[in-house]
Amino acid sequence: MKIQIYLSTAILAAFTIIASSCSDVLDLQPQDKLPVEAVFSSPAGVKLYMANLYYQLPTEDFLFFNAGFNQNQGGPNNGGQTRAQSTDEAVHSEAGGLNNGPNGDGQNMNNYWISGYSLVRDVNLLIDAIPTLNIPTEERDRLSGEASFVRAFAYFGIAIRYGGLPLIKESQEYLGDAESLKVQRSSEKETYDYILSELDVAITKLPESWNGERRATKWVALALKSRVALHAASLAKFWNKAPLTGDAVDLGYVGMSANDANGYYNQCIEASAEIMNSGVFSLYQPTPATPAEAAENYRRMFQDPNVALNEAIFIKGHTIPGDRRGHNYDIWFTPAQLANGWPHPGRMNPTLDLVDMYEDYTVPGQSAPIVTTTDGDIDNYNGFDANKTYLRFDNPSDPFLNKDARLHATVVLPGSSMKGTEIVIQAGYILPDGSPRIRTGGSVEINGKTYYNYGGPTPNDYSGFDGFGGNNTKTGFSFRKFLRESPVAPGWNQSTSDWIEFRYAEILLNYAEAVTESGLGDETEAAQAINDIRRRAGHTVAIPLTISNVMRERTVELAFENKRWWDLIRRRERHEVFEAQISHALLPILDLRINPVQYIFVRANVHNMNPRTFLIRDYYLSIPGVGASGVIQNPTG
Amino acid sequence: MKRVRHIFYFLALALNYSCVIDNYDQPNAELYGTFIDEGTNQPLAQDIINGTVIEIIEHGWVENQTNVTQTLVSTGDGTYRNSQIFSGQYLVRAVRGNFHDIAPIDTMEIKGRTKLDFLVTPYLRIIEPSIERNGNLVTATFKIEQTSTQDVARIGLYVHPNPNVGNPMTLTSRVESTLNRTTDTQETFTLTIDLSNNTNTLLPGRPYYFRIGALSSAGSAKFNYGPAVRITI
Repeated sequence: MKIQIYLSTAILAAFTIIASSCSDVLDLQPQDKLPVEAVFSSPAGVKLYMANLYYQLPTEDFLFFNAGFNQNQGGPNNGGQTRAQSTDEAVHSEAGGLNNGPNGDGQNMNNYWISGYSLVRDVNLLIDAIPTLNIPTEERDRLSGEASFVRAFAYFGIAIRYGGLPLIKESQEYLGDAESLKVQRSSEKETYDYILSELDVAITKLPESWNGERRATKWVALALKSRVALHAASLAKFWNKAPLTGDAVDLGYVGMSANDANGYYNQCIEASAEIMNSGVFSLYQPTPATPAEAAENYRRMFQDPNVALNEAIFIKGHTIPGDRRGHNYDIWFTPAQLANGWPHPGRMNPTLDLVDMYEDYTVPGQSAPIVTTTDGDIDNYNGFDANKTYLRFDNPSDPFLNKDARLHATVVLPGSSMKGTEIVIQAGYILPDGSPRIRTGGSVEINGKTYYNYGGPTPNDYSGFDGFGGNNTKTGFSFRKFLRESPVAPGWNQSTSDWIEFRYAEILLNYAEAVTESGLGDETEAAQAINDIRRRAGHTVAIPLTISNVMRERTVELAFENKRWWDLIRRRERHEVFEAQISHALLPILDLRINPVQYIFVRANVHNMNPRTFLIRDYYLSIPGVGASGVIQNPTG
Repeated sequence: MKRVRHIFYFLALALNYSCVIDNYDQPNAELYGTFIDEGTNQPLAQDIINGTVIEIIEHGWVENQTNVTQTLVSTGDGTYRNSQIFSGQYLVRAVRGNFHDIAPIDTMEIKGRTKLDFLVTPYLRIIEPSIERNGNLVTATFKIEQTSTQDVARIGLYVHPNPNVGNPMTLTSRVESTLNRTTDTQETFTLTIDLSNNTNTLLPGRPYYFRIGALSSAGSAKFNYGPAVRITI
């Protein structure tokens, strides 16, 4: 009893002491972090800090998934949902149609407000510290060039999502008055002008090379300038295709004027031309002898960009597998047959719409839709029709024989080979009595021979159309670009292939588009630019410089490099393309009505796909936290 | 056991002492009403996905009032209702609709159940609409009445199992016609959906709603619609 009283008293006493005293026992310096002064006091510390800034750049790369940037920590189970699946390039094997539009808030790929401004703050702290560093002037200059580059990249990542921005040009310090920290938005034009002026600073201060280190060079800054200026120019030219109203528009925080378009196009042309005329960069393997060679060159460049250092302007490396280091493209996107024990492959399903867009070598200068019937009707997506006469093929890859090499290097076509395995993609068969069995599974025996509905007896033997595990393609196409030739390592964050953030072909395409849209610059050189890219892809007939040729070329050359989304946004085409939009599939079907059996193909809507509509208001995302920051919100509702 | 109880007494005492009731009243007011075409006195139909937005801003909340804009959305038949609003004085404005701009209501009290109808002029009216099925063809004929000189951007015929059928909710590939010109009420327009071209999405024996839509070229205008017609195919 006594002990209990003592104990109670002791606890009461302890309470009283803790509650009343003002001990500094909790004011510890964290043991796992360095104070900012210590970081900036040594060049090695600055380099470490720099690495962290690069890590935070909004590069939409192998780590960019629907949950946002840098998704390679732990088991990043985001379903393998990428930006490409929210465009017309691909659909996801499980989702009924991703439409990653509206959310500017929360954990997703569109929200870059908070992490973007975190990067701005981090780089502003560095800019404050640069004058105090004990380093040679030349190094100091390069460092401030890098800082300007990072700041421009960060603001660009925010501006393309939210429009005109509060421009925090120097680090802020909280001195007890939150009001003094509030900064209102600048106009959209001022924002882009500021980004471009930061890049001009970077271009003058950055070196042409870092002797092998992957850091921003003068060329990288010029490449970003080419991209930013083209984005701003397109917004200016096309803004009125999707006009908005509201306070943010009235105050100029969103909205661009067509009068400014040519100024931006000209900046894009000049920045691109400086790279093109430098002689430093060129296309990787520009003159292949055959389309097959072209396809292999193109595939190798993305499997390992380090073979193509003449084309890759800026590489984001993944050297070591593991958390925060490797990436997950191979496990998510390899066709099901090559999963190597990984349970969730095959998520990237390129659409028929993309496949159609690639040229045929026999008809240069236009898209070449896959014709499947004798009547040549390519607009019928109703599935198999017994009254139609379908073209018959011996091999499932025959319809694609003359298609652009880049199609073969980007997409796994039915019956094509990957890692030495024939990839089987079959949607069903037509029984000898003419009744279709599509997407049913099972098998049938005819004249002693067994035919399987999906082309093989078990889910390990095919890669298409079976709903099993969401592992099979539902478009008839699987994914090849970027993926390694070596077997998949069946675990999280095990892929170490590098990502090309800027490459020479994008610069050529930026130049061609800017020249075509503005009439400025050199049209001969612009036509040369797209035809050089086509020559590298095995084309031998040059095509004229028209905007549809340039945009088709851009779409197929840069497919799955996460450019398509922004192309649709900046050119204000997304709301036109995505009006109750449904993507399309190509169903390879074994025709058992004839002997020997042959393949027919059916153009169809993607199974179980919801129509997708993009709303005009979603060209600008809702800004998080405006109640506290006082920032004027974008048009809502 | 007693020891433990003592500890809990102290803890409870310590915790209770620091608690002050700081809950605000929950929202207890409701705003509802209808968008009414001042010409026909009928509710003005619109899209449910991309419909008219009512912005309300409570006065005296913070200095810069645009920061606390709340938005209410409207339903497809032109009505709206939101029962989670705090009582108070509000600025109310309906924006980005399929009707000519109307002036905002600078101050109104929302308290209890508050009804607010908006009398509006639609950009376009679909007049004499008729949607009929003949064999495999569903044909819509109609005329368009313009309420301004702005061009008619395009017209369309839409089909969906849901009566809120419209431009963002339709199951066929575009059955639309781009006009970009003015029209007069004498001109008859015809749009046709061939059911045999859509056997994959329009299943025989099921009912579907068909609806005529027209879009004005006025800035940020939304579609105007005729009535949805139910046809079992």
